[in-house]
Amino acid sequence: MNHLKVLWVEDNADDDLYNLTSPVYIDGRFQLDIAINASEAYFYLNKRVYDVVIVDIRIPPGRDPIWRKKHEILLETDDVNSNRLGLELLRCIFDNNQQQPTLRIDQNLSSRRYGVFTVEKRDELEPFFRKFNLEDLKYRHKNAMMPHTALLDFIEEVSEELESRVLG
Amino acid sequence: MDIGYLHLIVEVSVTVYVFLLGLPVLVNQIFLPEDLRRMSKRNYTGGTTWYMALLTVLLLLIVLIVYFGTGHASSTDLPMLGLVVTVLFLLMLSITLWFLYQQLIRSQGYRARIIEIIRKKIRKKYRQTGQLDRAYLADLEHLGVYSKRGLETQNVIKALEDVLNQALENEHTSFDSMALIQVIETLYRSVANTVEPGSRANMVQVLTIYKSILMELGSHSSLDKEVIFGNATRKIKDCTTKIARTSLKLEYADMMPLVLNVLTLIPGSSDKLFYIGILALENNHYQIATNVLAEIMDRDNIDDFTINNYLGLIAHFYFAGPTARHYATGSLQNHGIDISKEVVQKAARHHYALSDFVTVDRLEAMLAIYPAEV
Repeated sequence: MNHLKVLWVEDNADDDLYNLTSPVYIDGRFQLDIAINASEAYFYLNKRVYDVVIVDIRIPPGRDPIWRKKHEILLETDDVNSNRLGLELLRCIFDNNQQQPTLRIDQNLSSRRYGVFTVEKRDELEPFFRKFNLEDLKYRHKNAMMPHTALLDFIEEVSEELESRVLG
Repeated sequence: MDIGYLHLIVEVSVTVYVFLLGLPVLVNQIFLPEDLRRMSKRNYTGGTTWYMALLTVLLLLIVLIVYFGTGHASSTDLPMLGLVVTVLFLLMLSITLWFLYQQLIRSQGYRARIIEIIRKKIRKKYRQTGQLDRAYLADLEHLGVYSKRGLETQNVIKALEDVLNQALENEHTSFDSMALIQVIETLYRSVANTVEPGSRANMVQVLTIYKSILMELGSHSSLDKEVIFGNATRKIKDCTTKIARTSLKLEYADMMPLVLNVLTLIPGSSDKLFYIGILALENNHYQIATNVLAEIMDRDNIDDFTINNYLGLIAHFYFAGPTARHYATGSLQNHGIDISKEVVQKAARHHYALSDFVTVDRLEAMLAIYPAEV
């Protein structure tokens, strides 16, 4: 049986990871990798091929010096967005004219197979989505009251088209 | 101000000097736990020698100024002499307070200070020789084992991470693989020991470091380094499993996805996943056990070794209650695995060779009733 390969980029390992991932494992249709910072996400995206990528917006840089540098630059320029490395990750994937070829990711996915699962409001992210033609990007708001199946539901939503093709 | 005051200052200074010289020893004996006392004996003195030398110089100055000053100075110079020796005396007290503040209060106290000294010594030695000094690493391990969970253990982990970063940065020039393995082992011992096991946050921190090592090794992999990387990854695999075992005992079950995440970066980890799955079932952590069962088969290279471990865990699920059995049956169907006599006997032989007789019995019992279940 072909399982859909899913990468979830999420740093909030303390509270959400256990409860949100278990329904995905138990469901049995998905092969899940978890990256808890930008360096790990970058590593996974360059090493493995995914059907679906779910990205949090506020993530730490991790160990990679390039991501650390990026984070420092963001800290110097804009305090509010210094942890928005999830957006930088998406920029690496979708910005074809980016100036830093060292951070290029050639993951052959359309924007429809990406999801943003974050505490940030969609309105705040809209200008970024428009800039990179990511209006198709699926979005789900993360909050304290969400059920434990929230991640599974969202993965199902993002992979809706794929599932019928791969699993059917 | 008369000459009596100057003599009084000298007497008090000598008394205070004797007391202050003994103060580090007193603090050492009364306040420091055994592991730190042991470190003190290994010459991680943290500036005590400088402190004592400075006190001696100040005392000598006071004595000499009073001795020569009272012999030659006129009565009008006495207030100035009094002022000078008073300032020197206050300096002695101030230096003592500063020393105590540096050693005991700032940076989590004396323990953090010693960890920092060892970290710097390791870095210095590495710059000189290109090797991580095992003796210093052993001292860090000792401190890690005896450090209390939380901040104390975190200081040791951070020092080890720093040492590790230095080693990995220079990995392409000269690389001490045994030292890397020792760092991996020391990290594990700092959080998963029977003396002072680490907190959940400490364990997560170590697992994150393991993950970053795996990524680093993965990105530098080449044929000539295969053996080195193989040994390091095997060590990470073992240590991660041991951390998982400790975390289950301490009810840190919620960090288990991170454990699975580390193990799935290492090819051929199904044996460890099998072990964690059984532990979880024994402790009624069904959520973890199901996650493990999913992860064993969720990777691309499924070989006989993986199937044997998967079936072994399925057999344990099979006898863990009707719902667990239902889940196991669903998992088999989900992965398209047919329970044939040959497949199960092959798995049984595998577990028999490892002296895992309980799993062998369960596999055979499952084979006996499985067709009827379907």
